[in-house]
Amino acid sequence: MTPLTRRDALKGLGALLGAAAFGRALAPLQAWTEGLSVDAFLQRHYRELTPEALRDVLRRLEDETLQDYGAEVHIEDLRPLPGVKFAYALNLSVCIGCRKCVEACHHENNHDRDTQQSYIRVLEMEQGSLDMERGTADYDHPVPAQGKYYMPVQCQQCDNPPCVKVCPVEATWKERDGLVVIDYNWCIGCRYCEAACPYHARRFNWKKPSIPADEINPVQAYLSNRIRPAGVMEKCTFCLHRTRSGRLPACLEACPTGARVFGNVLDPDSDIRWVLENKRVFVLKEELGTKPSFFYFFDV
Amino acid sequence: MRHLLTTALLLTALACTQDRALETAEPTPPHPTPQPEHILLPEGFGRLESHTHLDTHGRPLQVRCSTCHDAERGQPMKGSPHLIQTVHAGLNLQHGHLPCAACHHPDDRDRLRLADGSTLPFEEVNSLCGQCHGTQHRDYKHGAHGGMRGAWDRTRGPRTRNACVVCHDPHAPAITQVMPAAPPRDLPTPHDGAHP
Repeated sequence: MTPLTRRDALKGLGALLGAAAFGRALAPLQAWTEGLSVDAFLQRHYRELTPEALRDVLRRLEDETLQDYGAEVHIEDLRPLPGVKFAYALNLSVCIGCRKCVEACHHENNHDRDTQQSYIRVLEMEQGSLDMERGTADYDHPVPAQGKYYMPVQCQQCDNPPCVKVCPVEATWKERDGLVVIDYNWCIGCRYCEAACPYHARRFNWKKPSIPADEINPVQAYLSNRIRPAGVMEKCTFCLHRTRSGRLPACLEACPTGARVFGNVLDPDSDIRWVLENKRVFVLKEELGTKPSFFYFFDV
Repeated sequence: MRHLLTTALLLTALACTQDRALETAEPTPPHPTPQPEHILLPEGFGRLESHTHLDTHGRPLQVRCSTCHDAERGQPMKGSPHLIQTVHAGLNLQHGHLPCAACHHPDDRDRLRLADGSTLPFEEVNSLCGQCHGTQHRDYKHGAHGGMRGAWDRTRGPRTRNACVVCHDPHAPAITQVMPAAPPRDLPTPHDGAHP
Protein backbone atom coordinates (compact mmCIF):
# COMPACT_ATOMS: atom_id res chain seq x y z
CA MET A 1 0.00 0.00 0.00
CA THR A 2 1.41 3.33 -1.05
CA PRO A 3 1.74 5.89 1.69
CA LEU A 4 -0.90 8.66 1.77
CA THR A 5 0.53 11.61 -0.08
CA ARG A 6 -0.18 15.21 0.83
CA ARG A 7 -1.85 15.58 -2.56
CA ASP A 8 -4.33 12.72 -1.92
CA ALA A 9 -5.12 14.01 1.56
CA LEU A 10 -5.98 17.46 0.18
CA LYS A 11 -8.09 15.90 -2.58
CA GLY A 12 -10.03 13.87 -0.01
CA LEU A 13 -10.55 16.85 2.22
CA GLY A 14 -11.73 18.95 -0.76
CA ALA A 15 -14.23 16.27 -1.81
CA LEU A 16 -15.57 15.99 1.72
CA LEU A 17 -16.03 19.74 2.04
CA GLY A 18 -17.70 19.86 -1.37
CA ALA A 19 -20.16 17.11 -0.42
CA ALA A 20 -20.97 18.82 2.88
CA ALA A 21 -21.56 22.17 1.14
CA PHE A 22 -23.81 20.47 -1.42
CA GLY A 23 -25.87 18.85 1.34
CA ARG A 24 -26.21 22.16 3.14
CA ALA A 25 -27.26 23.90 -0.07
CA LEU A 26 -30.04 21.36 -0.61
CA ALA A 27 -31.37 21.60 2.94
CA PRO A 28 -33.94 24.35 2.20
CA LEU A 29 -35.32 22.17 -0.58
CA GLN A 30 -35.92 19.41 1.94
CA ALA A 31 -37.70 21.78 4.28
CA TRP A 32 -39.75 23.02 1.35
CA THR A 33 -40.89 19.56 0.26
CA GLU A 34 -42.03 18.74 3.79
CA GLY A 35 -45.79 18.42 3.62
CA LEU A 36 -45.73 18.45 -0.17
CA SER A 37 -46.92 15.11 -1.51
CA VAL A 38 -45.71 13.67 -4.79
CA ASP A 39 -49.24 14.10 -6.16
CA ALA A 40 -49.26 17.76 -5.22
CA PHE A 41 -45.82 18.26 -6.79
CA LEU A 42 -46.86 16.60 -10.04
CA GLN A 43 -50.28 18.29 -10.22
CA ARG A 44 -50.99 19.93 -13.57
CA HIS A 45 -52.43 23.41 -14.20
CA TYR A 46 -56.14 23.70 -13.33
CA ARG A 47 -57.09 24.27 -16.95
CA GLU A 48 -55.19 21.19 -18.11
CA LEU A 49 -56.70 18.82 -15.57
CA THR A 50 -59.01 16.13 -16.88
CA PRO A 51 -62.30 15.81 -14.99
CA GLU A 52 -61.01 12.63 -13.33
CA ALA A 53 -57.70 14.20 -12.31
CA LEU A 54 -59.52 17.26 -10.98
CA ARG A 55 -61.82 15.06 -8.91
CA ASP A 56 -58.77 13.39 -7.37
CA VAL A 57 -57.19 16.78 -6.65
CA LEU A 58 -60.35 18.00 -4.88
CA ARG A 59 -60.54 14.86 -2.74
CA ARG A 60 -56.82 15.14 -1.92
CA LEU A 61 -57.24 18.79 -0.85
CA GLU A 62 -60.23 17.85 1.31
CA ASP A 63 -58.15 15.13 2.98
CA GLU A 64 -55.28 17.57 3.56
CA THR A 65 -57.66 20.06 5.21
CA LEU A 66 -58.93 17.30 7.48
CA GLN A 67 -55.38 16.32 8.41
CA ASP A 68 -53.97 19.83 8.83
CA TYR A 69 -56.97 21.60 10.36
CA GLY A 70 -59.26 18.83 11.62
CA ALA A 71 -62.15 20.20 9.62
CA GLU A 72 -64.37 18.34 7.17
CA VAL A 73 -64.88 20.55 4.15
CA HIS A 74 -66.40 20.18 0.70
CA ILE A 75 -64.35 21.66 -2.13
CA GLU A 76 -66.23 22.12 -5.38
CA ASP A 77 -65.15 23.01 -8.88
CA LEU A 78 -67.62 25.65 -10.02
CA ARG A 79 -67.47 26.82 -13.64
CA PRO A 80 -68.75 30.14 -15.03
CA LEU A 81 -72.53 30.21 -15.59
CA PRO A 82 -73.46 30.61 -19.25
CA GLY A 83 -74.81 34.04 -20.15
CA VAL A 84 -73.55 35.60 -16.93
CA LYS A 85 -71.01 38.38 -16.47
CA PHE A 86 -70.69 39.63 -12.92
CA ALA A 87 -70.41 43.27 -11.91
CA TYR A 88 -70.48 45.08 -8.61
CA ALA A 89 -71.48 48.61 -7.69
CA LEU A 90 -71.01 50.47 -4.44
CA ASN A 91 -72.95 53.51 -3.22
CA LEU A 92 -70.45 55.82 -1.54
CA SER A 93 -73.22 58.06 -0.19
CA VAL A 94 -74.54 55.20 1.90
CA CYS A 95 -71.35 53.41 3.08
CA ILE A 96 -70.52 54.34 6.69
CA GLY A 97 -67.12 52.60 6.88
CA CYS A 98 -68.15 50.07 9.54
CA ARG A 99 -65.94 47.30 8.03
CA LYS A 100 -68.68 44.69 8.36
CA CYS A 101 -67.84 43.65 4.78
CA VAL A 102 -64.18 43.24 5.74
CA GLU A 103 -65.13 41.04 8.65
CA ALA A 104 -67.54 38.94 6.57
CA CYS A 105 -64.86 38.42 3.90
CA HIS A 106 -62.37 37.34 6.56
CA HIS A 107 -64.65 34.56 7.80
CA GLU A 108 -66.22 33.56 4.50
CA ASN A 109 -62.92 33.14 2.71
CA ASN A 110 -61.05 31.28 5.46
CA HIS A 111 -58.44 33.95 6.00
CA ASP A 112 -55.58 33.69 8.48
CA ARG A 113 -56.81 34.71 11.93
CA ASP A 114 -53.44 36.08 13.12
CA THR A 115 -53.02 38.66 10.37
CA GLN A 116 -56.78 39.33 10.22
CA GLN A 117 -56.48 39.15 6.47
CA SER A 118 -59.33 40.23 4.21
CA TYR A 119 -59.73 40.95 0.50
CA ILE A 120 -61.44 44.27 1.25
CA ARG A 121 -59.76 47.42 2.48
CA VAL A 122 -62.02 50.33 3.46
CA LEU A 123 -60.40 53.68 2.78
CA GLU A 124 -61.38 56.69 4.85
CA MET A 125 -61.43 59.56 2.39
CA GLU A 126 -61.52 63.31 2.73
CA GLN A 127 -64.80 64.68 1.38
CA GLY A 128 -63.98 66.38 -1.89
CA SER A 129 -61.10 64.04 -2.79
CA LEU A 130 -61.34 61.05 -5.11
CA ASP A 131 -57.69 60.02 -4.93
CA MET A 132 -57.69 56.55 -3.37
CA GLU A 133 -53.95 56.78 -2.75
CA ARG A 134 -54.67 59.41 -0.10
CA GLY A 135 -57.21 57.31 1.79
CA THR A 136 -56.33 55.74 5.12
CA ALA A 137 -57.16 52.09 5.78
CA ASP A 138 -56.26 51.83 9.49
CA TYR A 139 -58.74 54.33 11.01
CA ASP A 140 -60.07 53.22 14.37
CA HIS A 141 -62.67 55.68 15.67
CA PRO A 142 -66.47 55.96 15.52
CA VAL A 143 -67.75 56.14 11.95
CA PRO A 144 -68.89 57.92 9.88
CA ALA A 145 -66.55 60.70 11.01
CA GLN A 146 -67.27 64.34 10.24
CA GLY A 147 -65.96 65.45 6.85
CA LYS A 148 -65.08 61.93 5.72
CA TYR A 149 -66.54 59.33 3.41
CA TYR A 150 -65.65 55.67 3.04
CA MET A 151 -64.54 53.75 -0.02
CA PRO A 152 -64.22 49.97 0.26
CA VAL A 153 -61.71 48.64 -2.28
CA GLN A 154 -61.39 45.02 -3.34
CA CYS A 155 -60.51 43.22 -6.58
CA GLN A 156 -62.06 45.20 -9.42
CA GLN A 157 -62.19 42.10 -11.71
CA CYS A 158 -60.72 44.19 -14.55
CA ASP A 159 -61.52 43.31 -18.14
CA ASN A 160 -57.94 44.31 -18.96
CA PRO A 161 -56.19 43.00 -15.86
CA PRO A 162 -52.53 44.02 -15.39
CA CYS A 163 -52.07 41.26 -12.79
CA VAL A 164 -52.84 38.58 -15.37
CA LYS A 165 -50.40 40.05 -17.90
CA VAL A 166 -47.41 40.00 -15.54
CA CYS A 167 -47.82 36.47 -14.23
CA PRO A 168 -44.81 34.56 -15.53
CA VAL A 169 -46.43 31.14 -15.13
CA GLU A 170 -50.07 31.86 -16.13
CA ALA A 171 -51.26 30.94 -12.67
CA THR A 172 -53.88 33.70 -12.84
CA TRP A 173 -56.38 34.37 -15.61
CA LYS A 174 -59.77 35.87 -16.42
CA GLU A 175 -62.80 33.59 -16.64
CA ARG A 176 -65.80 33.97 -18.97
CA ASP A 177 -68.02 35.45 -16.25
CA GLY A 178 -65.47 38.21 -15.67
CA LEU A 179 -63.81 36.82 -12.55
CA VAL A 180 -60.03 36.92 -12.29
CA VAL A 181 -58.94 33.74 -10.53
CA ILE A 182 -55.76 32.05 -9.32
CA ASP A 183 -54.71 28.41 -9.34
CA TYR A 184 -53.11 28.47 -5.89
CA ASN A 185 -51.31 25.23 -6.66
CA TRP A 186 -49.68 26.67 -9.76
CA CYS A 187 -48.69 30.04 -8.27
CA ILE A 188 -44.96 30.39 -7.54
CA GLY A 189 -45.42 33.35 -5.20
CA CYS A 190 -43.28 35.85 -7.11
CA ARG A 191 -45.73 38.64 -6.20
CA TYR A 192 -45.42 40.35 -9.60
CA CYS A 193 -49.23 40.53 -9.74
CA GLU A 194 -49.36 42.21 -6.35
CA ALA A 195 -47.01 44.88 -7.65
CA ALA A 196 -48.91 45.25 -10.92
CA CYS A 197 -52.36 45.73 -9.39
CA PRO A 198 -53.15 49.46 -9.17
CA TYR A 199 -55.87 48.80 -6.57
CA HIS A 200 -53.74 46.97 -3.95
CA ALA A 201 -56.25 44.16 -4.29
CA ARG A 202 -53.97 41.12 -4.18
CA ARG A 203 -52.67 39.55 -1.00
CA PHE A 204 -49.70 37.30 -0.30
CA ASN A 205 -49.92 34.41 2.11
CA TRP A 206 -46.88 34.97 4.28
CA LYS A 207 -47.58 31.95 6.43
CA LYS A 208 -49.80 28.89 6.63
CA PRO A 209 -53.20 30.30 7.66
CA SER A 210 -54.19 29.52 11.24
CA ILE A 211 -57.92 29.01 11.67
CA PRO A 212 -59.70 27.09 14.44
CA ALA A 213 -61.44 24.00 13.02
CA ASP A 214 -64.89 25.12 14.11
CA GLU A 215 -64.49 28.48 12.35
CA ILE A 216 -63.56 27.06 8.95
CA ASN A 217 -66.19 27.72 6.30
CA PRO A 218 -66.75 24.21 4.85
CA VAL A 219 -68.44 25.47 1.66
CA GLN A 220 -65.39 25.87 -0.55
CA ALA A 221 -64.35 26.03 -4.19
CA TYR A 222 -61.02 25.21 -5.81
CA LEU A 223 -60.65 28.70 -7.29
CA SER A 224 -61.87 30.69 -4.31
CA ASN A 225 -62.02 30.15 -0.57
CA ARG A 226 -60.30 26.80 0.01
CA ILE A 227 -57.49 27.27 2.51
CA ARG A 228 -54.51 28.59 0.61
CA PRO A 229 -51.00 27.24 1.18
CA ALA A 230 -48.25 29.53 2.44
CA GLY A 231 -46.27 31.46 -0.17
CA VAL A 232 -48.97 31.98 -2.79
CA MET A 233 -51.08 34.92 -3.91
CA GLU A 234 -54.78 35.20 -3.18
CA LYS A 235 -57.54 37.63 -4.07
CA CYS A 236 -61.25 38.42 -4.05
CA THR A 237 -63.25 36.25 -6.46
CA PHE A 238 -66.62 37.93 -5.79
CA CYS A 239 -67.19 34.86 -3.55
CA LEU A 240 -67.22 32.56 -6.58
CA HIS A 241 -68.24 29.61 -4.39
CA ARG A 242 -71.45 31.51 -3.58
CA THR A 243 -72.11 33.61 -6.67
CA ARG A 244 -71.68 30.79 -9.18
CA SER A 245 -74.42 28.95 -7.34
CA GLY A 246 -76.73 31.95 -7.40
CA ARG A 247 -76.05 33.43 -3.97
CA LEU A 248 -74.99 37.00 -3.19
CA PRO A 249 -71.38 37.65 -2.12
CA ALA A 250 -70.73 37.58 1.64
CA CYS A 251 -69.65 41.25 1.77
CA LEU A 252 -72.98 42.32 0.26
CA GLU A 253 -75.06 40.30 2.71
CA ALA A 254 -73.03 41.70 5.61
CA CYS A 255 -73.47 45.33 4.57
CA PRO A 256 -75.88 46.91 7.07
CA THR A 257 -76.53 49.95 4.90
CA GLY A 258 -77.20 48.27 1.57
CA ALA A 259 -74.40 50.17 -0.14
CA ARG A 260 -73.56 47.21 -2.35
CA VAL A 261 -75.28 46.07 -5.56
CA PHE A 262 -74.27 42.86 -7.33
CA GLY A 263 -75.54 40.98 -10.33
CA ASN A 264 -75.36 39.93 -13.95
CA VAL A 265 -74.73 42.81 -16.38
CA LEU A 266 -75.95 40.71 -19.29
CA ASP A 267 -79.43 40.55 -17.73
CA PRO A 268 -81.25 43.78 -18.69
CA ASP A 269 -83.65 43.40 -15.74
CA SER A 270 -80.95 43.01 -13.09
CA ASP A 271 -80.38 45.46 -10.23
CA ILE A 272 -76.83 46.10 -11.35
CA ARG A 273 -77.99 47.07 -14.85
CA TRP A 274 -80.44 49.55 -13.34
CA VAL A 275 -77.63 51.14 -11.35
CA LEU A 276 -75.30 51.33 -14.35
CA GLU A 277 -78.05 52.86 -16.49
CA ASN A 278 -79.47 55.31 -13.91
CA LYS A 279 -76.63 56.35 -11.59
CA ARG A 280 -73.54 58.35 -12.44
CA VAL A 281 -71.11 55.51 -11.92
CA PHE A 282 -67.35 55.81 -12.14
CA VAL A 283 -64.43 53.41 -11.88
CA LEU A 284 -61.18 53.80 -9.95
CA LYS A 285 -58.14 54.95 -11.93
CA GLU A 286 -60.02 54.94 -15.21
CA GLU A 287 -57.01 56.51 -16.94
CA LEU A 288 -55.07 53.25 -16.60
CA GLY A 289 -57.42 51.47 -19.00
CA THR A 290 -57.91 48.47 -16.72
CA LYS A 291 -61.69 48.39 -17.41
CA PRO A 292 -62.89 47.37 -13.95
CA SER A 293 -66.14 45.43 -13.38
CA PHE A 294 -66.49 47.29 -10.08
CA PHE A 295 -68.31 50.62 -10.11
CA TYR A 296 -68.79 53.39 -7.55
CA PHE A 297 -71.50 56.02 -7.35
CA PHE A 298 -72.88 58.78 -5.17
CA ASP A 299 -76.55 59.57 -4.63
CA VAL A 300 -77.23 62.87 -6.32
CA MET B 1 -49.43 22.51 -50.37
CA ARG B 2 -51.96 25.22 -51.26
CA HIS B 3 -54.83 22.89 -50.32
CA LEU B 4 -53.21 22.25 -47.01
CA LEU B 5 -52.86 25.96 -46.30
CA THR B 6 -56.46 26.68 -47.28
CA THR B 7 -57.70 23.89 -45.04
CA ALA B 8 -55.60 25.16 -42.15
CA LEU B 9 -56.93 28.72 -42.64
CA LEU B 10 -60.51 27.49 -42.83
CA LEU B 11 -60.08 25.45 -39.68
CA THR B 12 -58.61 28.43 -37.80
CA ALA B 13 -61.49 30.64 -38.92
CA LEU B 14 -63.96 28.00 -37.82
CA ALA B 15 -62.27 27.69 -34.42
CA CYS B 16 -62.42 31.47 -34.00
CA THR B 17 -66.14 31.65 -34.79
CA GLN B 18 -66.78 28.85 -32.32
CA ASP B 19 -64.91 30.79 -29.63
CA ARG B 20 -66.88 33.92 -30.44
CA ALA B 21 -70.12 31.97 -30.29
CA LEU B 22 -69.27 30.82 -26.77
CA GLU B 23 -68.51 34.34 -25.59
CA THR B 24 -71.75 35.85 -26.80
CA ALA B 25 -73.96 32.99 -25.66
CA GLU B 26 -77.49 34.09 -24.84
CA PRO B 27 -78.31 34.46 -21.14
CA THR B 28 -79.78 31.32 -19.65
CA PRO B 29 -83.55 31.47 -19.93
CA PRO B 30 -84.77 32.80 -16.57
CA HIS B 31 -86.85 30.65 -14.29
CA PRO B 32 -90.48 31.20 -15.34
CA THR B 33 -91.54 32.43 -11.91
CA PRO B 34 -89.18 34.61 -9.87
CA GLN B 35 -88.74 33.34 -6.35
CA PRO B 36 -90.46 35.22 -3.51
CA GLU B 37 -89.00 38.30 -1.84
CA HIS B 38 -89.45 38.36 1.89
CA ILE B 39 -89.41 41.76 3.62
CA LEU B 40 -87.77 41.53 7.01
CA LEU B 41 -89.26 43.62 9.84
CA PRO B 42 -87.68 44.34 13.22
CA GLU B 43 -88.68 42.02 16.05
CA GLY B 44 -91.86 43.31 17.69
CA PHE B 45 -92.48 46.06 15.14
CA GLY B 46 -95.93 47.62 15.56
CA ARG B 47 -96.25 46.29 19.11
CA LEU B 48 -95.04 47.51 22.49
CA GLU B 49 -92.88 45.60 24.96
CA SER B 50 -94.40 45.41 28.43
CA HIS B 51 -92.08 46.49 31.23
CA THR B 52 -93.98 44.49 33.83
CA HIS B 53 -95.26 41.28 32.23
CA LEU B 54 -93.44 38.30 30.72
CA ASP B 55 -94.82 35.87 28.16
CA THR B 56 -94.75 32.05 28.57
CA HIS B 57 -91.14 31.95 27.23
CA GLY B 58 -89.97 34.46 29.82
CA ARG B 59 -89.58 37.27 27.28
CA PRO B 60 -91.16 40.69 27.80
CA LEU B 61 -94.78 40.50 26.76
CA GLN B 62 -95.52 42.29 23.52
CA VAL B 63 -98.83 44.04 23.45
CA ARG B 64 -100.76 45.41 20.51
CA CYS B 65 -101.26 49.17 20.48
CA SER B 66 -105.04 48.69 20.66
CA THR B 67 -104.62 47.00 24.06
CA CYS B 68 -104.55 50.49 25.55
CA HIS B 69 -105.68 52.59 22.62
CA ASP B 70 -109.05 50.97 21.94
CA ALA B 71 -112.15 52.89 20.95
CA GLU B 72 -113.65 53.19 24.45
CA ARG B 73 -110.79 53.83 26.85
CA GLY B 74 -108.48 55.11 24.13
CA GLN B 75 -106.08 57.88 24.89
CA PRO B 76 -106.50 60.61 22.30
CA MET B 77 -103.37 60.95 20.20
CA LYS B 78 -101.09 63.72 21.41
CA GLY B 79 -99.86 66.25 18.89
CA SER B 80 -96.22 65.91 19.88
CA PRO B 81 -94.12 63.47 21.98
CA HIS B 82 -93.25 66.23 24.50
CA LEU B 83 -96.84 66.08 25.69
CA ILE B 84 -96.62 62.38 26.55
CA GLN B 85 -96.12 61.80 30.26
CA THR B 86 -96.88 58.11 30.76
CA VAL B 87 -96.09 54.97 28.73
CA HIS B 88 -94.25 56.53 25.78
CA ALA B 89 -92.60 59.26 27.83
CA GLY B 90 -89.06 60.10 26.74
CA LEU B 91 -89.65 59.01 23.14
CA ASN B 92 -86.84 60.40 21.05
CA LEU B 93 -88.53 61.96 18.03
CA GLN B 94 -86.11 63.45 15.57
CA HIS B 95 -87.86 63.09 12.27
CA GLY B 96 -88.49 66.48 10.78
CA HIS B 97 -91.39 68.23 12.49
CA LEU B 98 -93.84 65.39 12.02
CA PRO B 99 -96.73 64.96 14.44
CA CYS B 100 -97.58 61.41 15.60
CA ALA B 101 -100.60 61.26 13.32
CA ALA B 102 -98.44 61.82 10.23
CA CYS B 103 -97.73 58.08 10.32
CA HIS B 104 -99.92 56.53 13.08
CA HIS B 105 -103.61 56.18 12.40
CA PRO B 106 -105.39 58.19 15.11
CA ASP B 107 -108.49 55.95 15.07
CA ASP B 108 -106.85 52.56 14.45
CA ARG B 109 -103.60 52.36 16.41
CA ASP B 110 -102.75 48.88 15.07
CA ARG B 111 -102.26 50.40 11.67
CA LEU B 112 -100.51 53.24 9.94
CA ARG B 113 -102.04 56.03 7.90
CA LEU B 114 -100.93 57.22 4.49
CA ALA B 115 -101.05 60.90 3.53
CA ASP B 116 -104.26 60.33 1.55
CA GLY B 117 -105.97 59.08 4.72
CA SER B 118 -106.02 55.40 3.82
CA THR B 119 -104.93 52.82 6.41
CA LEU B 120 -101.85 50.67 5.98
CA PRO B 121 -100.74 47.59 7.94
CA PHE B 122 -97.42 47.93 9.81
CA GLU B 123 -95.94 45.24 7.51
CA GLU B 124 -96.19 47.61 4.53
CA VAL B 125 -94.33 50.44 6.24
CA ASN B 126 -92.03 50.88 3.22
CA SER B 127 -94.78 52.55 1.21
CA LEU B 128 -95.36 54.96 4.07
CA CYS B 129 -91.70 56.01 4.13
CA GLY B 130 -91.70 56.19 0.34
CA GLN B 131 -94.28 58.97 0.37
CA CYS B 132 -91.60 61.50 1.34
CA HIS B 133 -88.38 59.63 0.56
CA GLY B 134 -89.13 58.99 -3.08
CA THR B 135 -85.59 58.69 -4.38
CA GLN B 136 -84.65 56.18 -1.68
CA HIS B 137 -87.85 54.24 -2.33
CA ARG B 138 -87.11 54.15 -6.05
CA ASP B 139 -83.55 52.94 -5.37
CA TYR B 140 -84.88 50.37 -2.89
CA LYS B 141 -87.26 48.96 -5.49
CA HIS B 142 -84.30 48.48 -7.83
CA GLY B 143 -82.15 46.77 -5.20
CA ALA B 144 -79.84 49.78 -4.90
CA HIS B 145 -80.70 50.78 -1.30
CA GLY B 146 -81.12 48.61 1.77
CA GLY B 147 -79.48 45.40 2.92
CA MET B 148 -80.48 42.03 1.52
CA ARG B 149 -79.67 38.34 1.64
CA GLY B 150 -80.25 35.44 -0.74
CA ALA B 151 -79.89 35.17 -4.50
CA TRP B 152 -78.51 37.84 -6.84
CA ASP B 153 -81.25 37.00 -9.33
CA ARG B 154 -84.67 36.00 -8.07
CA THR B 155 -85.01 33.45 -10.85
CA ARG B 156 -82.19 31.60 -9.06
CA GLY B 157 -83.57 31.71 -5.54
CA PRO B 158 -85.53 33.66 -2.94
CA ARG B 159 -84.32 36.87 -1.32
CA THR B 160 -84.82 38.56 2.04
CA ARG B 161 -84.76 42.34 2.17
CA ASN B 162 -84.67 44.68 5.11
CA ALA B 163 -87.65 46.98 5.54
CA CYS B 164 -86.67 50.66 5.92
CA VAL B 165 -87.25 50.48 9.67
CA VAL B 166 -84.71 47.66 10.16
CA CYS B 167 -81.87 50.16 9.74
CA HIS B 168 -83.66 53.45 10.34
CA ASP B 169 -85.48 54.01 13.64
CA PRO B 170 -88.72 55.53 12.35
CA HIS B 171 -88.74 58.07 15.19
CA ALA B 172 -85.08 59.08 14.70
CA PRO B 173 -84.07 57.78 11.25
CA ALA B 174 -80.60 59.30 10.87
CA ILE B 175 -77.88 56.62 11.01
CA THR B 176 -75.86 57.02 14.20
CA GLN B 177 -72.12 56.55 14.53
CA VAL B 178 -70.77 53.04 15.22
CA MET B 179 -67.36 51.64 16.11
CA PRO B 180 -65.94 49.91 13.01
CA ALA B 181 -64.64 46.33 13.01
CA ALA B 182 -60.89 45.98 13.67
CA PRO B 183 -58.48 47.64 11.19
CA PRO B 184 -56.34 45.43 8.92
CA ARG B 185 -53.12 43.81 10.09
CA ASP B 186 -52.03 42.64 6.67
CA LEU B 187 -48.42 41.84 7.29
CA PRO B 188 -46.86 40.31 10.35
CA THR B 189 -44.64 42.81 12.16
CA PRO B 190 -41.22 42.61 10.47
CA HIS B 191 -38.49 40.78 12.35
CA ASP B 192 -40.78 39.27 14.97
CA GLY B 193 -39.92 35.78 13.81
CA ALA B 194 -43.21 35.18 12.02
CA HIS B 195 -41.66 36.22 8.71
CA PRO B 196 -40.64 33.13 6.72
